[in-house]
This record gives sequence, structure tokens and C-alpha cells, in this order.
Amino acid sequence: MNSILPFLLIVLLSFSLTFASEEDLAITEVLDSMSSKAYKNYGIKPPPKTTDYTFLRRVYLDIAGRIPTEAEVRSFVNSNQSNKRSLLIDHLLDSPSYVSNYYNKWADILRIRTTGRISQNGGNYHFSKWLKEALQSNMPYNDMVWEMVTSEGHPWENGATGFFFRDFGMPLDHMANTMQVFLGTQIACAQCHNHPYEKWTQKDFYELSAFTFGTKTGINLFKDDYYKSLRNEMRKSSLNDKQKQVWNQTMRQLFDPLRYKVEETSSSLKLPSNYAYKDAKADSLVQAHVPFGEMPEITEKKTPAVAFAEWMTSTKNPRFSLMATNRVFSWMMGSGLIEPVDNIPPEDYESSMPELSKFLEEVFPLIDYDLKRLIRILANSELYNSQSHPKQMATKGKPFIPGKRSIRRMSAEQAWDSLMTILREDIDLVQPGPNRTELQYEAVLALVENYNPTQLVDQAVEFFDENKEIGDNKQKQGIRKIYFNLTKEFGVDINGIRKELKRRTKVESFPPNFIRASELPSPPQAGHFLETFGQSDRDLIENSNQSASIPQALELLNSSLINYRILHQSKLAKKWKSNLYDPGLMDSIFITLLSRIPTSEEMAYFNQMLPSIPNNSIFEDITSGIINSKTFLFIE
Amino acid sequence: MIESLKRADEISRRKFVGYLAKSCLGVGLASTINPFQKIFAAQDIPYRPKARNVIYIYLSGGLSHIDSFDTKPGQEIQGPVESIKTSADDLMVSQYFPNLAKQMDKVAVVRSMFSNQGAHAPGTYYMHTSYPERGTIKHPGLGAWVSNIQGNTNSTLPGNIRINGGSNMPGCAGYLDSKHNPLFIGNPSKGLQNSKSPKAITEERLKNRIEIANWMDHNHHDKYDHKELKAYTEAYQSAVKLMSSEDLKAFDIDSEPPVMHELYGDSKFGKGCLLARRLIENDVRFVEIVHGGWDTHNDNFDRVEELSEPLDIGLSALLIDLERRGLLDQTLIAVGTEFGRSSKLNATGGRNHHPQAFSCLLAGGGIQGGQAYGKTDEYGANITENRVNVPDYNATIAYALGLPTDKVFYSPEGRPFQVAGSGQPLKVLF
Repeated sequence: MNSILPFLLIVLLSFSLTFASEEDLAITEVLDSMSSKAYKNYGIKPPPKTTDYTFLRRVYLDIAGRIPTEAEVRSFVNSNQSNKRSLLIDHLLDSPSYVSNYYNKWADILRIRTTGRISQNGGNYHFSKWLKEALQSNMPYNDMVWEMVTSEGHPWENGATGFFFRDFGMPLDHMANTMQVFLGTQIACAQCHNHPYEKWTQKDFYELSAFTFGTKTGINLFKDDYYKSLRNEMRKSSLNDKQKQVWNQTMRQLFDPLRYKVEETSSSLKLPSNYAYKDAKADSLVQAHVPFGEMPEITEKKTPAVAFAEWMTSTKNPRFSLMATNRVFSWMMGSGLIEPVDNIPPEDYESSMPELSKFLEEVFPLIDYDLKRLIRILANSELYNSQSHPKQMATKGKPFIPGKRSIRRMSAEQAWDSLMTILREDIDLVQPGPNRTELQYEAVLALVENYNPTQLVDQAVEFFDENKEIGDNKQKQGIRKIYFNLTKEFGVDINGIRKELKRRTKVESFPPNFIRASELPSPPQAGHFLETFGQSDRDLIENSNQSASIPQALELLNSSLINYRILHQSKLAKKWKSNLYDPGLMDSIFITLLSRIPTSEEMAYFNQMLPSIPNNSIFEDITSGIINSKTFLFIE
Repeated sequence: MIESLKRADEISRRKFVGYLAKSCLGVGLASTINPFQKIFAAQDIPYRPKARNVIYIYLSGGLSHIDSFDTKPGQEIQGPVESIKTSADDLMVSQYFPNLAKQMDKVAVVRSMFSNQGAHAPGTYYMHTSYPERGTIKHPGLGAWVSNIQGNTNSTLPGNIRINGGSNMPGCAGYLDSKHNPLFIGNPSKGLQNSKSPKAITEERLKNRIEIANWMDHNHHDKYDHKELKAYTEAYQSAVKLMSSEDLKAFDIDSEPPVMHELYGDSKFGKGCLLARRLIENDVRFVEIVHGGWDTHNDNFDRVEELSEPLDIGLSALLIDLERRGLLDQTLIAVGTEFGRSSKLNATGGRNHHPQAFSCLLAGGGIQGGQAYGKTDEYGANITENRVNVPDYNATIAYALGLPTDKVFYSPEGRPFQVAGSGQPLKVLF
């Protein structure tokens, strides 16, 4: 395919552009001309433009990750500005909701776990913070990828290291995942044998893995100088054998975070001993090499990981921008031009609008890999503003068809955040409480920095003397007690934080876990709303799902979240509780739940339902009924 | 079937106690195995799978085989644990299983389990899926395979249920459609979450709400009434059906007579077993009960004793109860764990991880009870006879159910997988 770049440059130059947003609108126009052409090619009439209401709900869910509030709906609909859609897009891109929403999407792709060991010691807690900051500051996409792929250090030094820790001790899987996430290339098969129906060979895979094989994710704690000196001191101390054992375990637990460090080593990769092909010998050393594109230089100053990052994020890499733009396109339009988004064949991939795929691929570097700008360009387009096709449903692996925009079910996070929006006033502002993980890290750092081994051992001996039973009786409790005691010494009162969290739960009008999904631990406990509605378990790349299930239906019908919180404590419930005769109640219910006013038919249906003396129950039932309908859960 | 069960529930306490006494005292009786069975086995007549359902008990953390089902009487490593005789000749278990000892004639002990995974997460993954954990694909568990290959028997209840465990434990749907995921029951006493309307919501109000939801959807007929949305409509219909269904009672262990609660014990695990039995009765194909805490790095003997009590009571209750109801033949009970524990005690009186040799159990579903398969050395450290790899164990469960263990299935990316990986069923156990 010929490059259309010159054409684009002419377009850009023909405008006197001062603001990025104007430039973006100009790019959108090029995009629109392409979709008109596509309609002609496909022989279809362009679909009609959406109503303001449909657009509003769609764009809120796509950019802010939640439905709009009643006030937000009213202010948009009442505005007379001709460019109010563009203004709203800009407003949402600048809102904190943007970070929350896109965090959910990237956390699914990057498998960020904020529960369990991977979160605490394995640095995913810091990874999650890093990602939110990157989105907040709108870090260019290529820089984001660069920071992850070349990250080094402990999690608290560099949150991006979480990208490596997610595949702790699995360097080969890590490479397979990296290729899938950033280049849409699935080479995992070639880990064990030549790819059965694509051109990747096992040798390709190993040569590629050789770039990052030396990047280690863990260090041996027993070789750590500080830890070693600590242990030696302890051995010399007056503790008895059993106490020493307890001490050892306590210290290992305390020091566990220090084990997680991304470090470049000289360790080199060998072909497996069962290597079965003739192009190389089993067990032979593998030299780093790229499977396509230009081989990056590895020098003394430039580690193989950096060379790999250079190759991957290079504008010359044909997949880097294509993959990202196709993915963002799929977020905005329901499916990618090329599907599956993360499994694009090495050559001759099929795009439902090839010209547009190429165009977006070439535009992305020109706008400096700015994700917000890419979203703005797409959200202003005719494709985004057109009505969805009533018979088209978004399905993984099914590419976008011009004129047939699909409807989608809300993601687990969108559904949860939308319910939270109905429930509380301040959903975008409310922050989670103090975090134990963060404070535990601070304790370890304080320990390493402020205490010399002699002091630490002295203190432990003193502690054991005062609590003799610990060394002798229940080991586990003993270890926990020492752990709490030591962390308290270093300024972190874990039990205190626990109590504080409990206290807050009692005082505040809502439990501390009624906040945006992006701020909640993930994966959540079994049976949580987010799990029920298909939030990713963070085990595999993009593992969230929108499949229907019985527990989902039961949740919306019978849960206390709906029946107690939403129907009794929400902003909406307060409305009917304060005035059952308010003639605007039905409008408020519709606007709050569905972001639109009721049709005359709906008005008639619900009016005949209202008893002459209205009561709370009838409004509760109407609200529950609408939440349980597909009109609530689906995005047009 | 249901009718006979109802009758079984009404059985008088006195009668039942009498029955219990008989089956508990029946030590030795059961070794009178039908002689024809052996003849058939010898002639190698193709075995027809008998099992319809599976109750899979997972002991997470790593059961100490030495202190449970592969005891080493007289060895120093055995510590204070004594071995006791069971209802099966030549089969001994540890003193921590006095109730189960009376049921061992129904149980086959596999004493030569071998895993190549020595850490909990990968070990648990391997045990549940027969594949080593990979960062690039998620393998389905046996429950999901059953649901995928053989479908559900009960039209209202899901076919795959996990009790006392969540989705963080592997062996869910994996790459298969998420509808094969287990339904998670966090607390067996509470049953299925959200399956009942709040108290204030009368039947009439519930009906009204559903009617409003349906009317809204119907009103947008062109948008929300096509083929691809059917799954959502079906889920709603199933949910509503389930709420008013008799089958929902399957989740309600409170409706069991006191004598049943006594039999299964008061522990969370015991209640899980009781719930599992009710679910099996209602044709749920695969029920997993998780019983955790076996990672006895400290105070091994005390911990194993504590943990064994509910297992001893719950498992023997299942065996007695299922047999009495005539369900044991069609229900395979499997007891798995990720690895065993080291024979040598560590400084805190604990045993460390030991994947080189450990024990798992199989009972019912056509399994010949009262036997031990495989052997370990005098320290329980290494296998000396008939090594059974983790996938072989899973293949045996699959075989009992009639699942094809040698058939290749393809993931959406086209990667080939088998129900129990490369595992070969242990046909000699049937």
C-alpha cells in the first residue's frame, strides 16, 4: 500500500493551526473523508447521526468510564453551542475520570494485580500508581512503553518495573507477552516449537528473548550485604535456637520486598536441550536478533533491553503504531479495524478499512504518540458520532464494519462506576483511604536506612526477652507480632491503620469501598460485583469479559447494593423521598439512569402505573425495573 | 431419584443412627469384594464409565502424606503420629482419621503422586489443569471440561460449582467460554448469593420489576431483541427461574435434618460437603470443595491434627451418605493437593514442600476401594513403585466420567490441548 503521508502533510499545512485541538479536528476531517469513501465502496448509505442524548451517554462511558449525572445531562442538552460535542470531548479528556477509565483498560492489558503478593512485594501496587500518573500527565505512548520495557530497580524506585514483575521468574513468557501487548504479535507458540501456521520459528523466539533474558526480576536475599550482616549479628546474639528461627522468618517476611528488583545481568540464553530443528544445535548459546525490521545496535553503553526497546518503539517498526491505533480505535468504536486486536498476522493482515488503518498508523507518530489526541480525533469523527446498528453486537475477533457500529455491554468497571455515579455526589473526587502496602514499604526503607544491624538485633533480643512465650509457642502468631512490632518501630502502625479503616467505615455515609473501580483492589474477592460482571482476573492479557451469567442477573435483582444503597440512599432516592408529588420525578429517573428523558410512550406506560397517592415503593420498583433492563447495561 | 431422596430425608432418627452404627462398625465386612469384578478386570473387558458427577476435595497448601495416608509406622520421621487399622485389609491411615478408617474399604489411596512444581501457585495450577502455568494461556479445569464436553444435566442449576473458594484458584473456565466457570459459593451456610429477594420485596413487587424490565426491552425491540443478545435474556430467565425453582433448595443446607448436620460436622468444610451432596443430588456435575491451610511449615503435628478433624468427619460422612442414597457408584470423590511434605522436620517443627512424593485419594464412581496404589520409600521421600504424574491422576478422574483423554481440543488461537494434558488414566483402579 502506498503511503498517504504526503497527503496528510498537505492537509495539515493548509490550515493555519495554533492549537492541537484544531489540528486534531483537521485530522478528523481527513478521517471523515475516508469513511465517506468507505461507505461508497461498501455500497451503503452513511448511518444517521446520533441524538445528543445517545452521544452524551456513549462519550461519557467511553472517555469517563461512567454514565453522566443528571446535572451533566441537563447542562449538555441545554447548551446551544454548535460545537458542544467537541467541547465535551475536551472537557472529559481533561477530567480525572479519564485517568480512572483508561487505567481500567490498561490494567486489563498489563495484568496489574493490586491484591496478593504480586501487589505488595511484587510491586504491582507501584505499577498501578505509575500507570495512573502516566495517564494523568498524558505521557506519550512510546515513552510509556519505553519506560516499562527498559525499567530497572526496586518497585518503589520505579513503578514501571511492575511490567517485569508481572512475569516474575518467567523471562520467556515475558517476551511473548510483550510482543502481544505492544506489537500485536502472538509468538507464544514458538516458545516450544515452530509456529504451526505462521512464519515464526522457535529460533526466532529465542533470538528475540535473548534481548531481555538477562533482565532479572529477583535478587537472592541471602547475598544482600545488609541482610547478611544482620544475620551474622543475630547468630552471635544471645537468642536461643527457636528464637533465632522465628527471627529468621520474621526478617525474611520483612525483607521480602527487597527481593523484587529488576536488574540487568550478563546471563545468557541457550536453546532448549530438546531443540529439534536443524538450523541450530540444542543447548547452544543464542544471540539476540529481531525477527523483522532493522537490527538495533547493542553497544557497551546500551543494554540489550534498551536496544530492544529502540527497535520496538521505532517509527520504522511497522507494527508499533498500527497495533496501538487499532486498539484505541476498538475502544472507541466497539471493535478494531483489524481483529483480533492483539493477534495481527505477520504479513497481509486484513483491515475492514485499509486506508484508515494506514492513516492512523502514520498519524500517531506525527501527533507525538499523544493518546488523548488520538482519542479526540476519533471521538469527533463521523464514525464515532453515527448511530449504532440495532442488529450489531460487539464480539471479540469480529472487525468493525463501516455503517454497522455495534452496541456493547458496559464493562464490569463501567457498570460499577455508573452505579456509583447514581449513588453518590462526589464519585470522581472520593479517594481511597490510607494504604497498608504503601506504608509497609516505607517501613522497610526506614529500616534499611536508619537502623544498623546491631541496633536491630539488640532490639529484637529485647523484644524476645519481654515476650518469652513467642519463641516457644505459636510460631505464626509470634512472627506476626514481631512483624507488627518492628514495623511500628519504623513508624508504621499496621494495626492502627486497620483500626482507622474500620473507624472510617463507621463514620462515613458510605463504606470506603464505594469508590471508582480503578481505586479498588483487583482482582476483588469472590462474589464482588466487579468479578460477577467479568472484570479481568489479571491472569491473562485482556481477560475481562462481557458474557452474561446468572449471578449478574441475581446481583441486579436482589443485591443490597441495588435494593438498599441505590433504592434508598442514592441522590435519586432522596429526590422521591423529599417530594413524592414532584412532577419532574420521572424525568429525573430517566435522565439519571439512561441519560435521556422518557419518550411519550414510556411516559404513558409509567404514568398509568403510578397510584393516585404515590409512595416510595413505586419509584423504587420503576428504578429497579429500568436498572434490570438491557437499556441500562448496554451502550448504543 | 428426587422422590427417594425426600424419603431418605424423612428417615427417622433412630433408624438412621442404627444405620450409621452398622456402616461404622462394618470394619472388615467390605473386603468381601464381588469376585466377578476381579475376573472382569483380568479379562480386560472395556470399562464403561459409571461416574456422572465429581466431588473434588482440594486440600490447598500441601497435605502431609506421611501424617495422613502414607504413614511410616516405627520410623523416627513419623513423630508422635500413630497408624491405625482400617476397614480395608493392609491399608493403614494415621490416627487423625478415625472415622475415615471405617470407610477406607470404599477408598483407593494413590501413594505415588509426583509433581514437578514445588511452589503453591504453580503446583495448584498444575494439579487443577494438568498443565504447567503459562503467562500466555489459561488452561481449563476439569469442571469446565465436563461442562464444555458433556453439558449440564440440570437445566436450572449451573453444572460447575466451587465451594469455599473463588476465582483466584486456578481450574476455572480457562480459555473456554466463561459460562463454564464455576459458580462460587463462599459460605456454604449462606448458599447462593443474592438468590432471594430482600424481605421488603413481595412477590408482587418482584413481578412488577421484572415486568418493567421486560417492557423496557420490548419497547426497544429492534435494539435488544436479536440473536446475539439472547444470552443475556437467557441469563435473566434462568435467574428468575432459579429464584422460584425447587432446585434453589439444593443450596439450603439448613433444610437438612439435625442428624445430617451431626454427621457432617460443624466445620465450614463439613458444611461444604453437605452442600456438595445436595448439589450432586440435584444433578450438578462437578463440585469442588476447597479446604485450605495445609502449609504446615510450623508445628506440623498440631496443625495436621487440627486440619484433619473436619476432613475426617466430612469425607467419611460423604462416603456413608452417598452410599446410603445409592449415589456413590455414580459419584467420583477425589481428594487432591498440590504436593506432599518433607519427611525431615524443620527447626520450627514443620514440614516443608515435597512434590517428589505425595498421596491423593479416589473413591466411588467405579473406583475399587480398599486399595493403595504405588509406594514410597521408608521415609516417604521418594517413589519406589508406580509413579503417578499429576496429569495421570486427572486423566483418571476424566476417564471415570467418560471424558475423552486422548482427544485434542483447540483454543481460539488454535493451540492444541487435552482434558488432562498428557495424562494416562489409571485403569487398574476401577
